[in-house]
Amino acid sequence: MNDKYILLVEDDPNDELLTLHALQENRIRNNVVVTRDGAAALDYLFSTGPNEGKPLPDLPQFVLLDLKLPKIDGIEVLQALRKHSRTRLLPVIIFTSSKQEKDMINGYRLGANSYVRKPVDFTEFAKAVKELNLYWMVLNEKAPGQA
Amino acid sequence: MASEDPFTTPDFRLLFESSPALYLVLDPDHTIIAVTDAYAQATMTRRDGILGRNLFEVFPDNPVDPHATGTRNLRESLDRAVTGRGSDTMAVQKYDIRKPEPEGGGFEERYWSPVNTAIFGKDGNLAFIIHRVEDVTEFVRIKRQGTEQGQILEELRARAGRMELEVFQRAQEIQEANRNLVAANADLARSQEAAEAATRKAESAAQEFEAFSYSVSHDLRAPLRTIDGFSMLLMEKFAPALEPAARDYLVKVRAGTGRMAALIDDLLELARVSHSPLALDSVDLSRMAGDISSRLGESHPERRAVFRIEPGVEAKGDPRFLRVLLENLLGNSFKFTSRKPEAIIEFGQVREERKPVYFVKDNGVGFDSRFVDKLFGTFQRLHTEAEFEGTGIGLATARRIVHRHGGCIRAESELGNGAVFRFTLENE
Repeated sequence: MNDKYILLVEDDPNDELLTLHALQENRIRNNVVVTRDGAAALDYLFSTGPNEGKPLPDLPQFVLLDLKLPKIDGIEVLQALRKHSRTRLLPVIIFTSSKQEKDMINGYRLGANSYVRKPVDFTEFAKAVKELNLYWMVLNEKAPGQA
Repeated sequence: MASEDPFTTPDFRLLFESSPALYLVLDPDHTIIAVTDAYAQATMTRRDGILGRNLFEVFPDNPVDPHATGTRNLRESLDRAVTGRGSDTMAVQKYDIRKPEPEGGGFEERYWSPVNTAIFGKDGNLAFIIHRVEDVTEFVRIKRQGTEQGQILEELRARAGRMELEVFQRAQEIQEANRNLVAANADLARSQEAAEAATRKAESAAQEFEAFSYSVSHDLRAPLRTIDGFSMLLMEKFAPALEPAARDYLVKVRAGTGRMAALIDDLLELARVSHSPLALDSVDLSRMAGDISSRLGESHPERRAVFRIEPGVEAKGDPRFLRVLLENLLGNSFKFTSRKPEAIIEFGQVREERKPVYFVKDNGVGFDSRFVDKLFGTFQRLHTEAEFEGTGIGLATARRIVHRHGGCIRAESELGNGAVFRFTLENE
């Protein structure tokens, strides 16, 4: 299936569109899989729920995870990912509006690889997405054994 | 030699003088005519020294005892014995006797129990007076000691009584204290409950605030990002179709969203420094100021700015809050020196009344000191947005932080001649 791809977990369609625009604008034609809540993200990665019976997908290069999500929020998604051996080392970048201390501490404590606040300024926003993509998609070497 | 025959004619003078009792024999004029050895010894006199002399001349009153009544009492007793033609027993008399010069002179305290007996001759006239005394000094002393001991005993009893009373009172006091303690404990329990309730209330308020600021932080920013993002996309994707005015409007829309985002952040910060509990620690302010300065410098690499930071300035406070405080003050100085060819921004401390006063000083545009009162107000600005951008919340936040640390902050400036902000953190 698709080689390198990003899993975007984002419930706000505007933010989704802006993120995709930012990625396109930087001329990096990556595959992006979008899930719109925490439950959908986990169902996708573990072939559960509606994906029951499907073969397990290859793991993404990294997960761009919003925190404020319907059903299962970002922190819970992170916890679930860190609990499974399959996703224990999967890079997760928290990408959220919040700069709340509590969120940041929780995020890092639960094993987030990075915490990036979504800038309101779209120029800044696009720059952040580009840099994240460059770092995690291109420069970063995945842990051995990660699909 | 009848007189030498002890069986027929005993030597009465020898017998008398050798008697173990204390006797004086006086003639009717109180002249001493005979004395026993025992008497002489007891009165520290010598027979040849007193015989033929008047009794009262030999035994005068003790001149240093103002209460001495010995001679008067004795004279009265002698008279009574004569008048009564018999014996007169006197009450115990204090009758001090003169000590001989070789023994140091003066008088020695003595108590006597005297009996005076008038002896009449066959003609019925007064012939002699026998003055017999017993030295009861020792007895009196013992008695007095007894009295004293009695007094001491009495004193002890009284004291014991007083102590008993005191012990009783103490017991009462202790009981009272215990009652008060019980009441105080009840009060304490109540105030603990009240404190716990207040804590719970504060916690729930803090949680509410947390939830509120979380929601503000997430939800108010998302639409702004949408506005800004799509304005930007409009400008980029449809640039050829946009008239210059339309493009200008979009720039203004984006400026507005940027300002709104800054306001949200600053208001959240102000709310946070107002509501979050303080976690005191020792803080290296110099190092903190150094970090902030580097970051400010990096944010505008085109500017020439010199930061002079006094090393080793430490304070006690909440490090997160003190960082926000210094960020605001140094950021302010950095902003208001932006038009200087070379900005000079200083941080340090001075001592006023032995308390540290920290300062941030710059050579920027300063402010009109007539409006210094407005400087620390929320949304109060002394410069227009066109002159210097800002939300008008930074110094309100700075002041809140200083107040929460129990200190005060003041600003001084002359328009055009820089500004200095001084603050204390009184909890130190």
